[in-house]
Amino acid sequence: MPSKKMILSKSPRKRVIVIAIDGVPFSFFPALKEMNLSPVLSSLYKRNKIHSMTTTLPPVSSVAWASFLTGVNPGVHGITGFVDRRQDGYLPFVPTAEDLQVSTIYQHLSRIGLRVCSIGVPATFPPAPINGILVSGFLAPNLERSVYPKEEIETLKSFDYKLDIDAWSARRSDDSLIAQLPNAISARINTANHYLNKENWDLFVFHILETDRLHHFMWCQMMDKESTALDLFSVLYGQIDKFLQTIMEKLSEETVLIILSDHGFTELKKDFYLNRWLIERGYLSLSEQNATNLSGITPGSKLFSMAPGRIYLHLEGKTPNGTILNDQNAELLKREISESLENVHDPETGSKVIRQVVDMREEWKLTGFDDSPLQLPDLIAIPSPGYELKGELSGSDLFGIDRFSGMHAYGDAFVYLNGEEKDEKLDITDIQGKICSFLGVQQMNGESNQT
Amino acid sequence: MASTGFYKQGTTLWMTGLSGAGKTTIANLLAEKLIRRGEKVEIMDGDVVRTNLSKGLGFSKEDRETNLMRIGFVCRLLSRNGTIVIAAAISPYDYIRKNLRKDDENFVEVYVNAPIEKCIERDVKGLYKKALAGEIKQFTGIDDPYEAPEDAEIEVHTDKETVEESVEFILRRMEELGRIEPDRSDEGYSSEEEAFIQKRLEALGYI
Ligand SMILES: Nc1ncnc2c1ncn2[C@@H]1O[C@H](COP(=O)(O)OP(=O)(O)OP(=O)(O)O)[C@@H](O)[C@H]1O
Ligand SMILES: [Mg+2]
Ligand SMILES: [Zn+2]
Repeated sequence: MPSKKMILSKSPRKRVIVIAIDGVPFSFFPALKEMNLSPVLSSLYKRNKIHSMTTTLPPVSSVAWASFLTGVNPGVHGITGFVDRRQDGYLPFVPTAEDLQVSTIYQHLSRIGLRVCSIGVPATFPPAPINGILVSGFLAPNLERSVYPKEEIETLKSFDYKLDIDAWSARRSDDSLIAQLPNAISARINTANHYLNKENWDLFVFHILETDRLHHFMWCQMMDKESTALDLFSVLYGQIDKFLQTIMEKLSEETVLIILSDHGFTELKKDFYLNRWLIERGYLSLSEQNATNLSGITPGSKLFSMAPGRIYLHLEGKTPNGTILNDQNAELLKREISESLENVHDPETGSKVIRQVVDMREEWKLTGFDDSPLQLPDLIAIPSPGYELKGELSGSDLFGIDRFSGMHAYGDAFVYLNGEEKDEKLDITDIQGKICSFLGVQQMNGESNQT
Repeated sequence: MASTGFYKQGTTLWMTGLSGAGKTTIANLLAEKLIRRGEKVEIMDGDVVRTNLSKGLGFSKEDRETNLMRIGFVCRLLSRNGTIVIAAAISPYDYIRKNLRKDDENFVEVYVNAPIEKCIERDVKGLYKKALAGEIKQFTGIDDPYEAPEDAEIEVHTDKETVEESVEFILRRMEELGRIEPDRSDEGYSSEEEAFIQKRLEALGYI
């Protein structure tokens, strides 16, 4: 794919600060105001400066932030989940920034000499050299491996910067979550303030992860007035509010502020195990009974799935043993499976589990769908709110209940664009263009006409 | 990033600095290292150019400008075709460097900085001695001005660094500026690291 080019235009240039708040839904703003969690955000919302924004399918942080960084949909940049699959095997792997098929805004801006400082944004491990400072997101294995240039490790340590909380410990007890989250977010914010003041930057991107973690663990407890969750919400959002307030006070004419999230959140009721359903229906079979991965998939299997809701045809050529040909029968199979999935109901409540199954070739408008070095999902099932679509294989129950009370919602992200009114539909892939125009950078769109 | 043509464009690496500051020395070692990294490299050294492309030109302001514009022209042609061209010429006037930058989207300026006293002390070619004795006229730094750049993307201090250090610093800055593909073959996950990350993702219910 030919790469896009950027040039500095003569128009007046501004500096841009992006505050990325993970997993905060647009639809949460009325409650946020009600609960008085962040006067700054509420006041922006009241003045119609916070807009709803659509996001990637699937709405997963590493996928969505990769789209933020590249300005293209996941079918084009190539990362479609926290784990992906290469064509030569069935075991999942964790894709990194090196698997991105297009260059990022950081690379383009560096090339034209603009300074970039990025802290904590997912899809930036391993930290590639940029014209500035890069601290990778939570998928870095440790602090030492998370930062470019390496000299900055000492600074991160001095702020007690954490890549992520210990989620295993948080699963075991709320106390652990309550002990971890406030420290993690204040270390993160202190680090950001340090670089905001000390570094010379044109683009500053700061990612706040703790909101996503809080929402996973405590989304429903928030409604319960007795719950300790309420305090935790107040503490976390309070810190964000204070941080935003100092930034807005210091904003000058030459600096632009963008605030956004990458996906919404909603109550998690049940997990639905898509692969087990495929097995039950005869679309998928494994040579071993209690297999925990797809390595024993039989050649006759037609379909398999990876969380969340990604469905793959077991294609010849795209998989080691697949026998499905990419022809009209494949189209029929896709239609058949979509219809059956849209008819799955929760036996307890009778409600529909899957709202819609999307054909990703059409959705992503790709000409190079089959050229991707990773296998792209042929279909993505969008669950009804409350149902998380998981990939587990072993076991026989179709439904299960996890430790969490929140799950990512589809779409329902938000964006604040320096007080601009909303005059169009906004998607997370549009933000790169907005940043460039604030920076006075013109994008030259090579021969590529893909979106 | 899997390669997308991002690194296919070349670069005009324009080294400016006093005579004896270290442009030629750096250009030679840098070229060697870039070639070892698989890059296509050319050097346009002021001294060499004056024996062919700009033969007969002197050191008046006008002749200097003509010489530099010719070097810049060749650099532009080469860099837009994927070559890294290292230009090594004193190029003392700011407006000329600005003009060159304006015409060449791959222009990256390197200020090879050494104090004049240091250059006189080095006097690699014995020219400072002659200039100070009045035997050569219009010698940059002696009786012709050197206008130091303010917007150079890269600056090395050759009075404080070894040649090796200056060259390594330039390579690092070229990586940062997306001018050469970073040398980072072993930076992805080790298999233990990846297993550890998968565990973390599991804890969050993501896989
Ligand atoms: N860090 C350094 N980088 C480059 N040269 C250095 C450095 N440290 C010491 N030197 C010495 O400085 C001298 C620089 O001479 P060189 O011929 O490279 O200068 P030049 O800038 O090309 O001058 P001219 O404009 O006259 O061609 C050499 O003798 C070199 O060994
Ligand atoms: Mg020389
Ligand atoms: Zn999440």
